[in-house]
Amino acid sequence: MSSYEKRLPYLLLIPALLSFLGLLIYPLLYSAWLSMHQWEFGMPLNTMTFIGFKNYVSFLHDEFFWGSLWVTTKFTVGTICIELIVSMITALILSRAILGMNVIRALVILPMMVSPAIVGMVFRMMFSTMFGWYNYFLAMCGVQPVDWLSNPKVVLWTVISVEAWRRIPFVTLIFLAGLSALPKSPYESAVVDGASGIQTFTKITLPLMRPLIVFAVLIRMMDAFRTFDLLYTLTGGGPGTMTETLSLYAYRNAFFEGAFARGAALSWVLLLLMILASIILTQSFYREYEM
Amino acid sequence: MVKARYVKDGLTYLYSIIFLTILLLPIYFMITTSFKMPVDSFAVPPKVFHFRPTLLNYVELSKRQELGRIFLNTLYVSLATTILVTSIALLGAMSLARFHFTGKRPLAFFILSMRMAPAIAVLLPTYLLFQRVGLLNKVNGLVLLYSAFNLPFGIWFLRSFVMTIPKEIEESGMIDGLTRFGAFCTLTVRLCSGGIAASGVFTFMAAWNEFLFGLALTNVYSRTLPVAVTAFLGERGVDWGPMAALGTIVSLPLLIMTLAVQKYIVAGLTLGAVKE
Repeated sequence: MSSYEKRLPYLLLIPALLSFLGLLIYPLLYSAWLSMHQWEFGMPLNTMTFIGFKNYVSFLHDEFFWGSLWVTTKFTVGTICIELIVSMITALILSRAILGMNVIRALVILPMMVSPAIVGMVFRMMFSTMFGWYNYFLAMCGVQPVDWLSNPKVVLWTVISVEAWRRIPFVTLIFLAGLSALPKSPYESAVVDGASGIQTFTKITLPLMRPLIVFAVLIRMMDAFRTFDLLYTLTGGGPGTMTETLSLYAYRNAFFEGAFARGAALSWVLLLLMILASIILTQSFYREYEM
Repeated sequence: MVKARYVKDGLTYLYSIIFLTILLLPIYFMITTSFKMPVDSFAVPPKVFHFRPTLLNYVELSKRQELGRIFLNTLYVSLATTILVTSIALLGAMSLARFHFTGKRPLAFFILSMRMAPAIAVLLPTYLLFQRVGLLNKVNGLVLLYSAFNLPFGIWFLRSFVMTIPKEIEESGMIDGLTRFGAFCTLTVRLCSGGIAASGVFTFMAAWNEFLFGLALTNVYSRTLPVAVTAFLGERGVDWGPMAALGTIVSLPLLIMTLAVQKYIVAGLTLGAVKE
């Protein structure tokens, strides 16, 4: 291999790596440095004082911090569970080769492509207590209208459903692909052995789909932690702080309350949690699989 | 048993219809609301099907002159980002798909992990940096930022497509005198055009729909469309008609583009996932 060929792969990656370094790594490091200072709105840059990890320690006593952490966890777990179940069922049903599947698949993708900010707006209208369509449908079934967005007990589920609505197409597509790539022989043996549908599913399909499910959970978890646009426009974190995830809380600190350094520290906590969660997830599942 | 087959097909169609209805209802709502007069939007019970269509909301939008500039801003940012990302990602995809080199694994992992970066963590320092460099409130600042954020996905997506094209294509090109890079650019790229189009649509969509940075890093002159939609969050509540109209206008290009390349979108998403 010529030296040209040896160097080419590295050269090809340079533009990408430079972009990452300049626009992602450097700001992230700068943010970490900022987070270790005391700095608020009204203080010029050069009057910052270094306070080490005090910002981070202060979170331990901050009830809003723990609240946002709890909301983030509930939100992530809730949306992933719904997505996994609905997508798996849908993928199983849609994996049958019927006429028009292309059209169906094309239509299924659409919710993914609308701006999350606009999605938030649209669902705000649809969940309107007085004029929203969902309460109208409930009324047609004789059910009392629900304060989807203002009832503290319901609002988190509302928000979870909207996020699930947005993401189910993606997960369904992944599962569909996985299902179509499954080997035929285990199923043929299962038929010969007289296994029931449910047994086939739990003992054959699920284990075979495991890597894909883990992949979906990983990606969805990363995205759910970072969700911002949708929550901002749908509820703004409200009512009160019922739907304020960590990312919203970080934004509130940095841009509403002018606590810049605290906001930076909060966003770093978010990043660290994401890294931790992905390490735990990949270690516990991939160890059983030789990738 | 043919009968069982028909029953199963029927059930599949039934589920599809119900599923699609639930999935597409909000989009239907947005589009129809944009063509409704306030009387019909706020009717109790709501008028799902029977209403008198009107262009009132769109006329209302056209009165707001700044929307034209906002639209052009968004178009520029999305196009520029797409071009930038697609070219850089293609290079990276070629590197990761075709070569084995020391440090490939950690580099690939590093690139993929960049996708994890939460926008919030980058927002504040980027604000300060842009301020210092003079990129604050400039559309080009957005282009650079969006490009960096969309590169990981673009590389991952395009790599899957490049890997489906056999190496022999490039090697035959090299026999004809092209360098490996030249062969890649002229031959392989042409074969991947569907995947490149799909990746382009994804990047375009990500830039077009982006909200947080558009909210925090722009001013009146450099604003983007999704941010403008939130301007209809008035004090007395949401201004349904015009907002639905703007939402429809903002979403329509993407929906059309998606339908055009949906085959490749599906292929690319699933190729990458199944191969992991």
